Amino acid sequence: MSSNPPANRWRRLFATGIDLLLFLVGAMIVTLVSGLLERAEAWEYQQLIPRVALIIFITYLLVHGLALYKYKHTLGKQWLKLRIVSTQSQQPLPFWKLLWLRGPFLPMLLLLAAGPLAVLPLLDSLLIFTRSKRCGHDYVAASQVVCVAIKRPAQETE
Amino acid sequence: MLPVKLPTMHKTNQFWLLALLLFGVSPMVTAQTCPSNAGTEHFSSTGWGLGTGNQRFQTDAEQSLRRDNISSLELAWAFALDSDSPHSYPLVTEDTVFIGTTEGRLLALDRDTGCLRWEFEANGGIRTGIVHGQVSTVAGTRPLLFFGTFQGRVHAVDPTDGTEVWQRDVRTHPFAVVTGTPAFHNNKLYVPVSSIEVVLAAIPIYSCCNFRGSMLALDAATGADQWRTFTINKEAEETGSHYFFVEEYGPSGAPVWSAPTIDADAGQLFFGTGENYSAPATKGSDAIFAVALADGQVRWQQQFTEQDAYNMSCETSAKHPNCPEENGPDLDFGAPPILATNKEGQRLLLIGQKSGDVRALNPDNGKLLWQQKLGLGGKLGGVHWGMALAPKQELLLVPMSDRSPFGKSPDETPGLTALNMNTGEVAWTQPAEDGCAGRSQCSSGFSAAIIATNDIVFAGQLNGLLSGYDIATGELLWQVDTWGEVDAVNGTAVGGAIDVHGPMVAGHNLFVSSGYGSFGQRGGNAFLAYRLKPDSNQSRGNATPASEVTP
Repeated sequence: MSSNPPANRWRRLFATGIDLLLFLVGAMIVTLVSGLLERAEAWEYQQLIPRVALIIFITYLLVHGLALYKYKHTLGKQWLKLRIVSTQSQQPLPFWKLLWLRGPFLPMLLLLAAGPLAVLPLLDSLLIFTRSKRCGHDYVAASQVVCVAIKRPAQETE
Repeated sequence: MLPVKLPTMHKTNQFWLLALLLFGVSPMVTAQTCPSNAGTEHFSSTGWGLGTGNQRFQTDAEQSLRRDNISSLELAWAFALDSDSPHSYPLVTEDTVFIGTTEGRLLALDRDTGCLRWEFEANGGIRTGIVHGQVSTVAGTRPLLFFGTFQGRVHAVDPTDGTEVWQRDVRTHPFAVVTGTPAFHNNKLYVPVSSIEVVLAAIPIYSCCNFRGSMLALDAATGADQWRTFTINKEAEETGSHYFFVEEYGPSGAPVWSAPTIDADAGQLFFGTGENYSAPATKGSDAIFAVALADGQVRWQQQFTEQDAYNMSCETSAKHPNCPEENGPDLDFGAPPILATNKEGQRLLLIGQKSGDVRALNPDNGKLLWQQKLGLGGKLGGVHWGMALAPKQELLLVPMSDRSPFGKSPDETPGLTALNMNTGEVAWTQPAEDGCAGRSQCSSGFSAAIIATNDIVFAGQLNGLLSGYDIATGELLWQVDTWGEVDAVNGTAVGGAIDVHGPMVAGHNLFVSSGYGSFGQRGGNAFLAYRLKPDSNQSRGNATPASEVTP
């Protein structure tokens, strides 16, 4: 893995798009099934934020947690052949780092619709345009996203 | 139209001010503070309707604005309130005017200068008029102020210095609010309860709806419950579901948006209701109720629009899962009933509906006496916030909003009409002056409640015009334009649409809040105090003599 190049920015964006879409669909299902936002009490100022946070956490665990545990990257990255590795060792990150350090940044993209708070996910994402092609969450988790070299199957000998 | 003059400010201040404006918060400059407590010897009214009959009629003893001096009515001072949609109605004493703000401050302002005597921080934005009651306690009789908030609380406050006496949470639903002004009578406070669940229903995953409107009686001395009467007899039950998991509930709604009307002689009170929020529609929506003052038992109820179930989800699409099949027409009673007695001694209950219909009922049984349709009506009125009575002329003054939320209709007839209160015949009509040239978020309707004296009816329009019309003829006697910036005692205030509770007349003063940013209207924060010029005070009612006024 050590020789894999940093991932292409467009490929990363596309993978993030897939992950976000899966997350949103998952969040809708979790919201509907759990009924956490069905009652009027849920929309009271004191209750709304904790309930939304709980939905986000459950959804993230259900949609991406398993993939992070099993593959050490999300489904979007799996399908686009991207891998998350440590900048130090070039090895996959431990699960706890993926979940607790990188994990919160995906639902943070929802803040793009939250007026002035959109500056947080924007800052995180725009760092991809630095020379190292690393987002804010890569710096937080000391990680890097790389593209897996496509291995061609060995030619059969007659 | 910024509320402060930016060029004279330091750049750092400009930055923070712009940041505040971007976040939708108006700057609040601290007002000059007066040294003394508020006078409580004489109150010019008891609350929203001035008297318990909700006539919105101010007697000559309580005010001195007349046909022959009205031309000298001029702006005395302005106060910048703290949001762009003020929602309170003032209460006036011999030297003080009390007004609430939507940021939750009850202000006691010097009546002549607008300087701040004291302020009280309420639990939630103040949404009602300020009510006065002489309350009997074990220690004797004392005056108290009462008001309701957006958080569903009712507060009782000492008018002298603003100390709290009690507060009560009157909600039976998390999103219940107190919008209609409570009414005080005989040591009880009658509190109408409405709800903004009608808005929450627009969220598709919300289980709509289970709020029920109610009228609550409290002990005015302690805030303890006396009785509560719901506008829908039974609690909402599950009626279905959507998206596999989201349950639907009904019946619901029938909120009480306006002040109750006290009929002390018959021992009853009247109130109007709004539409149902979800199906099935009930008999208690868009209805007038008469209930016993003593125990809240319903004596009669009369519905005027059947099958009216509606909530804000219907504004997004009739196919919205929370939009009831009935889908409107949302024709609430937003204006309180007016109790009147004519010269023959006949009692009348005069009601105006958002449909544009005005009716007279027999207050003893709710039977219809006459009916008159004055406008197209609709979701924003029709008769929206309140009518007024001119008892001497036996005229019912009817403001017609006739404002469509979605552009102008050729059939709209906004204006002000005087009806013979005995027959419903039109005495005169004053069509609304357009006044919107060069103005955005402007319409001409008379949405706000109005107020009458023996000579004049004062009415504000959504275009910011505030006018006084001759009661007998409808002739325009006086008019000011409240739209735009005005120097205030605490900075700069901005006027806009005049809506909700409308003008108040007391002594030689006229008070009005200008600016109301809901429903796409022009917001503002100007609380304006007009005053007769000193040499024009031919009779003063209970007003402070203009010669004693400190400018």
